[in-house]
Amino acid sequence: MMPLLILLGWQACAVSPPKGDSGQFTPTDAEVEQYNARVAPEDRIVCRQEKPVGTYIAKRVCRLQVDVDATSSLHRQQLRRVLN
Amino acid sequence: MLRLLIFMALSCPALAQETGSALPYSSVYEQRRSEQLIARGLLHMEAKDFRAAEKTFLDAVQIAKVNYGLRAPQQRAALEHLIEALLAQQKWQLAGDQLSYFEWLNDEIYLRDFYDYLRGTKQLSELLYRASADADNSNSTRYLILAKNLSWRAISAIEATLGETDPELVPWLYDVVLAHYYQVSLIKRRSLLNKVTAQGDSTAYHGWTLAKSESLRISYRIGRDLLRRIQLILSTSEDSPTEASALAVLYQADWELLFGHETAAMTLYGEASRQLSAIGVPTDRLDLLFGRPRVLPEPVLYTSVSELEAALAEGPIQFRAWTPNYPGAQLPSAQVARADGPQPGSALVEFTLLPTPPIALMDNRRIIKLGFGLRNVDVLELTPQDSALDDEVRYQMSLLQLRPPLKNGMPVEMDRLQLRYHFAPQQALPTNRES
Repeated sequence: MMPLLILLGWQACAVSPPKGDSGQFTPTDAEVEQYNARVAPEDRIVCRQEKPVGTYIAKRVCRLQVDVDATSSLHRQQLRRVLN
Repeated sequence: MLRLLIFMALSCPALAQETGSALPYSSVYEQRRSEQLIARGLLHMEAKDFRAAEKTFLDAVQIAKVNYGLRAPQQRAALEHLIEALLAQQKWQLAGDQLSYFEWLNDEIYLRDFYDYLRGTKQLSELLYRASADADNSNSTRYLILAKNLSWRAISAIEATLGETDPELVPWLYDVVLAHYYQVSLIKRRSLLNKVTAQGDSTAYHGWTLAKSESLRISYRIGRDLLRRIQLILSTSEDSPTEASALAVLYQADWELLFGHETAAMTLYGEASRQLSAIGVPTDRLDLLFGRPRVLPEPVLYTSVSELEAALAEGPIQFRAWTPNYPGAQLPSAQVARADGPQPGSALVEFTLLPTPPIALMDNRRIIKLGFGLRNVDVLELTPQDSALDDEVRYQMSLLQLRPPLKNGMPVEMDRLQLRYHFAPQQALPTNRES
């Protein structure tokens, strides 16, 4: 009885691991386009390959377009401040 | 006393109407006047009096509103012609307003009649394509993106209403595939897909600012995925391949060829041929099917061999260029064609199509990657006769991608093929092409 309970408890806690690489959990280009077609401009997302700092291996990342624009603008401002 | 007299004078016609007496005039808002006005407006359009047509169609829309209601689909007939009249006059801002109104109206119809909503969406999509095809419209890209987004929304609506594998999805998915091809041809013209800004100062529209190669890759992937999905939908009800699913493989092969993936294309052409043979299509029909090249992409997705055979008419291959905005793209449908401009010229061209590596067709221009080589290009006829047009048709031919002739799944050389090239309306002679 005890081993059965332990087995049941272990199965209840187990989380099935993702199959394949994590890339499959980001939406495809077609899914992104379909989603963007029906939401307001401020809710649109953009997915692209990005290389995180410290690795050459690119991974697909999806972000809100407004965030990408805001970050780009911030980085441009900071760069301008440093250069001046 | 005077007030009483004025009141009597004003109320007389109304009283007469109520008692059923005949009046010398009928109501300006009489229901059938809307149809009469549309007919009159069309006559103005034929006479190229677009200003009068605009006014007449606008009146017809108002009458339809009064008779059927503000949210009534009956407005669409007049509204469609009104937008055509505005586009013909290049009144982009007003046309944009009416297109937005059409979209709002169509969204209202969605909740009441789903299939009517789809009909309206198709109508609107054709109008947007027409707006995007005008070479003088600096906002043409925006209309292309709007048309594509509209098709996506129709897809979402069908998925929500009829399910994700309903065959009703197929033409809409193919519309998105074609929109991506037009987008790619646009990239050939410009180096970047820039931010698109609306004409109005209050609204800013942001398009994708992507590098050429990234945008090309995305379009290729979306087209490939959608064509796979079409094939899945068409084969979902049967375990064995059907004519429709085998032909869907043919379209997948075409897509690979359009993006320069010759090996993948050949594999898929072979697969389409095998599947068609397996379901009992005789060899002579297959030879005919694969023996007559077609300009890619096909504007229509055929789901039966007999439909495709009917499209493969005898005589020269017909190619109607759509617009200078989308080089190498053929007219999607007669509904999208411009009828307001002068008749464009045409040329009859003879050539040899052979499976060769990419070649430089025009030595003085650029090397164009063609999956299959066009050789011995000869211009047989030209209307109007003009040496500059001779050069132009050779250049335009170099932008076309043809489905190769195949025998037993293998590409074969085909000699003395003829193609009738109809120039796009507004086609100007080249001034500065990207090299």
